[in-house]
Amino acid sequence: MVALDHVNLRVQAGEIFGLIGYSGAGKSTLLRCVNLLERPTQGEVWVDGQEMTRLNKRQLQSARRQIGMIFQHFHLLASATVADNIAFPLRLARHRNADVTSRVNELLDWVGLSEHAHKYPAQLSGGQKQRVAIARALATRPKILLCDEATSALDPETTRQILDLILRVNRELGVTVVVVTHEMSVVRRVCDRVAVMEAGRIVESGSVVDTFLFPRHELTRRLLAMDDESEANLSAEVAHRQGNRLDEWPGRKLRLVFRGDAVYRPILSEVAQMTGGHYSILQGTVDVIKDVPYGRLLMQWFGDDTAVAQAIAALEERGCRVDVLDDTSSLPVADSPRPLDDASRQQGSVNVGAGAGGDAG
Amino acid sequence: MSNLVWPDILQATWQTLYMVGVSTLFATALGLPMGVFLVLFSTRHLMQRRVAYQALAVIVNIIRSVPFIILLIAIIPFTEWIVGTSIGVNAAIVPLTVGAAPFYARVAETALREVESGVIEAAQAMGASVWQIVWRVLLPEARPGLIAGVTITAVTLVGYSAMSGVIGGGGLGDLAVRYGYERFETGVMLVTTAILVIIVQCMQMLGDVLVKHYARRS
Ligand SMILES: Nc1ncnc2c1ncn2[C@@H]1O[C@H](COP(=O)(O)OP(=O)(O)O)[C@@H](O)[C@H]1O
Ligand SMILES: [Mg+2]
Repeated sequence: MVALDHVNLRVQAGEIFGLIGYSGAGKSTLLRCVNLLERPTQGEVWVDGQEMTRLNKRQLQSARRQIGMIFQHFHLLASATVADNIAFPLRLARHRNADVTSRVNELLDWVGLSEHAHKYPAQLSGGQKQRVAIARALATRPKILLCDEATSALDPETTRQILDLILRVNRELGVTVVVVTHEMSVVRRVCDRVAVMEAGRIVESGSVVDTFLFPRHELTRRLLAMDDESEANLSAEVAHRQGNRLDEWPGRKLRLVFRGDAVYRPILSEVAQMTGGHYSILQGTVDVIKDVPYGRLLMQWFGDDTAVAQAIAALEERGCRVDVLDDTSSLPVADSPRPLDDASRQQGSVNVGAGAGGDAG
Repeated sequence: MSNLVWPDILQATWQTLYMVGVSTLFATALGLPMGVFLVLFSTRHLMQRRVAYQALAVIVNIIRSVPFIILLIAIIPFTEWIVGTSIGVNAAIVPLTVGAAPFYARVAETALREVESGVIEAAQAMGASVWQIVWRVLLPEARPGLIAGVTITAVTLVGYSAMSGVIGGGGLGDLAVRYGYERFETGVMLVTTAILVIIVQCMQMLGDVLVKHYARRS
């Protein structure tokens, strides 16, 4: 049985990379290939310029200390206190006792669990357990953090806190992070780039903003549809409801998507003035994903077909993507040009960069 | 029941405690590594070895299926080789240990298997070697079960030790059989049995306290 097939993945140093897909897609298997908990039968794995697949047992053990990992179910030692759990990887690496103590205190403070140092995991909440797991994963100052569904067992508020902590790990410590999840909202919150997986293959990958605004693959659209603030929820229903009232007026329903600088420029009024047209906004969002501003509007553009076509051309000229929604019950398939990702052409390879992290924030 | 019997009872009590104590210690010391290897060698575990696992499992099963009284006699040459004699309390410790070690191995195996595979994997991800995982993950995490297993083994050994009279091992069980069964001295039989009950009770209570102490954490 083949769990992963022809997967090429390149993670840049200092970024947060997301792997999303439904359960059974092979996300965990791919993540576990990074630290070779799962050894691929073919292909190679490079981490921080080191070919993991060629290391011997001892070299692999020390390479793994440079890669932290956290899990959905935390996997803490039930028989050890919070402090001892965090000290665990340091003791494995045979650090001196004094160093262990000071490092553990530092980490306890950093994740905000100092007063729980002597509790056992069973006495903690899920969010606290994940904080302990994160502190433990960071103890040996790794350059990379792997997160396998780290928030999937947590409630929304705790999820938010843990995601904020993961962002801090990335920004304050310069750690490269790979996040596995089945929730688009997690990707939207923390990731810079994302790969969408299905049946052991990567079906789409690129920057989160682009993937979020211009999904190419059907699976990506389905995953987005489950996310509250996403594409599909610029809802056809709203357009339909308001559209009926607008039917008496000549014009077309348009969906505009724009990102970056376009958000701050007076595009709409400019185009309206230039073409002598008028518009009405039916629904829309203007927001920021990972420092990239974007806007999505559902609107009625008034005028005959020539006027509308002129407006569309002018909008596209200014960097908007425009879809004409004729039948409001079905959104047209997007096929816009997209920045291609730089996945290597090698057969089956995983490459996780690290080191040059620094302050990404 | 004559007063002359009391020194005998006292001595027998001491013999039982000595035999059970020492053989529990040895059986645990031998059985624990066997249990660890049974787990490590098993399918999908840290040191998967099909043949080694089967070999170990067969040895354990054979010893466990031989009735203790037969084991006691069958290994007399081995006992002589180890302690220099096949008679007496020290000689009894050998078959008691041999009989109980595989028993504890299986109990330990079960306890060690309870350790979540995710926790083991997390340790591997942190660069732990197999032996670090055994020492720092498997054994501490399974501690309550391992201690409960020692209690069960000790209680079982109290029963086995009664049969050691066959090779002159002495002890309370032997006394109960000699006075009660062979001479119809019901009083001695009752007293020795009562002492055995108390010993078993105390061991169980001590074991439970320890288990509770460590299990509080999980
Ligand atoms: N080493 C392996 N060889 C073959 N199949 C595997 C292996 N590991 C996992 N699988 C299978 O691959 C699929 C993907 O599993 P997984 O990576 O856990 O998916 P996800 O994390 O996306 O839910 C599952 O059906 C699993 O049973
Ligand atoms: Mg998974």
